[in-house]
Amino acid sequence: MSTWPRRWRAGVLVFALACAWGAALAQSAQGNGMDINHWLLRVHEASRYRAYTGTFVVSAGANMASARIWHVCQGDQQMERVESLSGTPRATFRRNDHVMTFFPQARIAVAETRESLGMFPGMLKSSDTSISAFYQLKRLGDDRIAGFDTEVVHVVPNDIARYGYRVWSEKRTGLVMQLQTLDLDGRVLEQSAFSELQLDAPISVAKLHQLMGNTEGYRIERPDLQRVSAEAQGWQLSRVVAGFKPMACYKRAVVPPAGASGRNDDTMQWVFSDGLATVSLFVEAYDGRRHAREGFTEIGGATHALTRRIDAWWATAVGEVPAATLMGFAMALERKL
Amino acid sequence: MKTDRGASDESISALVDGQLPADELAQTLDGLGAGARQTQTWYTYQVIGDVLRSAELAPRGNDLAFLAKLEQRLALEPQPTKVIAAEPVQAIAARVVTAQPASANAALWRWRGVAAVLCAALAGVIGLGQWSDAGPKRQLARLNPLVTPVVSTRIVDANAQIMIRDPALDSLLEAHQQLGGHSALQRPNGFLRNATYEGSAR
Repeated sequence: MSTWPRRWRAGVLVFALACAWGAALAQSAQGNGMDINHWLLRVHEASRYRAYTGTFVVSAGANMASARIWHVCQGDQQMERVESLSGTPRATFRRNDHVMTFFPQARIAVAETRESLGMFPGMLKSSDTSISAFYQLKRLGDDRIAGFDTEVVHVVPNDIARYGYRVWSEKRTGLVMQLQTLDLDGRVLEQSAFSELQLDAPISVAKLHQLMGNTEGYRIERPDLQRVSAEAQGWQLSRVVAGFKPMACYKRAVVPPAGASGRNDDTMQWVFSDGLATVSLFVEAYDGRRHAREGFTEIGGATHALTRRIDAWWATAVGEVPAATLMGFAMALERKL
Repeated sequence: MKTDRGASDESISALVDGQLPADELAQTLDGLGAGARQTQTWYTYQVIGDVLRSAELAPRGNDLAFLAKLEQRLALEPQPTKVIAAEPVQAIAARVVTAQPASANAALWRWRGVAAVLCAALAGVIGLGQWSDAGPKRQLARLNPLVTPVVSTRIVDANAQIMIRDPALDSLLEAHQQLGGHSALQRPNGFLRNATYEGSAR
């Protein structure tokens, strides 16, 4: 909790820094005892090849949401169904990279292709991944989650540009049962967990297929998304935040909220990742009526947003990273001449 | 004492412009401090002068934005009320423990300080005051107002996080979540997280 006296916290910080330094020295001397890439690959494969159904709960800031989950795989094909139990009624289906979200009240179905979902485990297997340079893994012990024995690990960031994670993975399969995002002081920013889970559940792929394809009575919307290069759009970063690599850049029409004035201009979305955390840099034309407030917005949970005006442009950095990291991105963004 | 009329709008204007005759200076300065109206007039003339000299000096939307940012940052600062409230709860709870009359099982209870602290805090929160002994009742009555601020600051914290919502930003957040899946934890967890959690605004 945050009720520690400041001098204690300062002492703990000095101690933690000393420990981190010592651990880094030990690690460089002996090699990594527990390889983070190997561990990530295991939890990734667990979610891929298992069939399960359960209740998934997310809590971020003061908010909480839950959903009913079905997951199944058949050969190379994976199918998932997420039925929201809180907020707007909606059902999200995923077949590999194809995602279809049904909003029964509005009778709208949104069809998308999320190519980012297909990036792993390729990236984890390749030798150029830098995850192990910016995070290390610490085993914390054992715990029980939703009736399953789990192994708890702490994914510790090596610097203050990213958050840490505490992960509970099911011992037998490696399936992630609970995940916490931790701030720089180790406090929980947000967490998600299965409150109830049935592993190796009998789920019919054909049934999920049929439900996903049943769009009768729905208007299907496809987000207008074009792959572009940031350079061709006239943007560059004067320097990058250590560990973050540009993953993709898109041009999309971000629909202004109902009732809002302003043109529906294209927005560029430049995505960066260090392997675990992701930052999106949005750039759109500046509109004095809509873009009034520069600075940070606290959203609750691990996600932060930072807005900045750059001449005739309005930049918004969004990501599950500390505010200073977003600042690093926003300040480095510049118009190419 | 000088009257209000001693600092007329004309003389304040002349003072701002540096054109006030020397013999009226003392009277005008005295009159300036006489009331809120004179102070406001002085400020208004200063602002007019600033704007005439340079548009940069005029109060603008940025000032409000700065204020909004300042308020936001202040809301995020660690709140001293939590520390103040938390310490007395423990101190008083400890006193509640020591205020127990010595009994045959006193030794058993002494080492269960933590249990007593929890009981005292719980009793304080749910407002249980039906104790037959007058001593502990008085202690709990004093404990209650100290417990309440802890609960209310949490509510304030929660509101501070929900309050600041911007629908335009929400659409960008959604876009970030849709394409922001470049994480090794995305497959096992991130996709489920984003499909489950829609934020508080929608």
